[in-house]
Amino acid sequence: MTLTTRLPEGRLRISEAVLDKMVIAEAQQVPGVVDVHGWLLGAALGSVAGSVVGFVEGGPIGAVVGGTMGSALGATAGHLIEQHRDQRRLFEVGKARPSIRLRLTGAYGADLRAVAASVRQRVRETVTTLTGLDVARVDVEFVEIAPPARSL
Amino acid sequence: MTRSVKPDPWLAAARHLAEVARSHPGVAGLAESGPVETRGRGAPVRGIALRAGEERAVATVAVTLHTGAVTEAGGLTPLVRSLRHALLDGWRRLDTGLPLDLHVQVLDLVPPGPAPASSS
Repeated sequence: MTLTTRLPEGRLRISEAVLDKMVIAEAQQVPGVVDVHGWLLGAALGSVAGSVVGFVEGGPIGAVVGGTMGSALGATAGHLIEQHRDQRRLFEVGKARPSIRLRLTGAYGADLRAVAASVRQRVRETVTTLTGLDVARVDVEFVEIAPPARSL
Repeated sequence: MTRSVKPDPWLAAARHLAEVARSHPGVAGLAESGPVETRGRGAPVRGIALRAGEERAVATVAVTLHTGAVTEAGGLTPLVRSLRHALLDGWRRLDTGLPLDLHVQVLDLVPPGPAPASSS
């Protein structure tokens, strides 16, 4: 039978674990970024553009939150990450518009506004190019500054 | 006396599609847990949910891809398109007479290496 010759493309859904790796890898490569603490991610659906369905904590190093208070917060974040990993939220290409919120440590002395702009551009371009997802926004928070030489 | 069990065509088709997906370049494996699976008379096939739709079959395939393959292909979309073609070709070879709606879920990216063991 040749009934399958003219089929629609079908849906492509991408897990937040995939976006997680892309976003962190890209953010870490921007000069002026010392560390990526974690990120929050939501999906603005095309039909209700701009509305955020929800945010979840994410990122493999998302559990490393804060310094002195890190252990308590980190444990909570780690728990949340595991919870949401199990749920494996999926973003549908052509419909979902992920919103990304990053928490970074910036290099002391760096122009943080310029660093944030570079992070936004790099993350948006990579996610769009590699996944076809249309990123709604990339928010950047600097939660700490550290000497640029510090490597983690 | 042995009892003959009639093979489940949906499970057999899902198993075939799973093999096609697993052997496709850039695919590290299929989902080993979660809701994407085909159940029937026999062991479930994980990573592929194949079911009957209205005058058609509907399949959802949940895959993990190799990071390098995604980069080489220029993104997820071209790699998934190639996988989709392979799966549709595989479906045609089954000669079911049914069209297939095919949906793909990319669950994770992993570095190159031995493919994770999968149970199907």
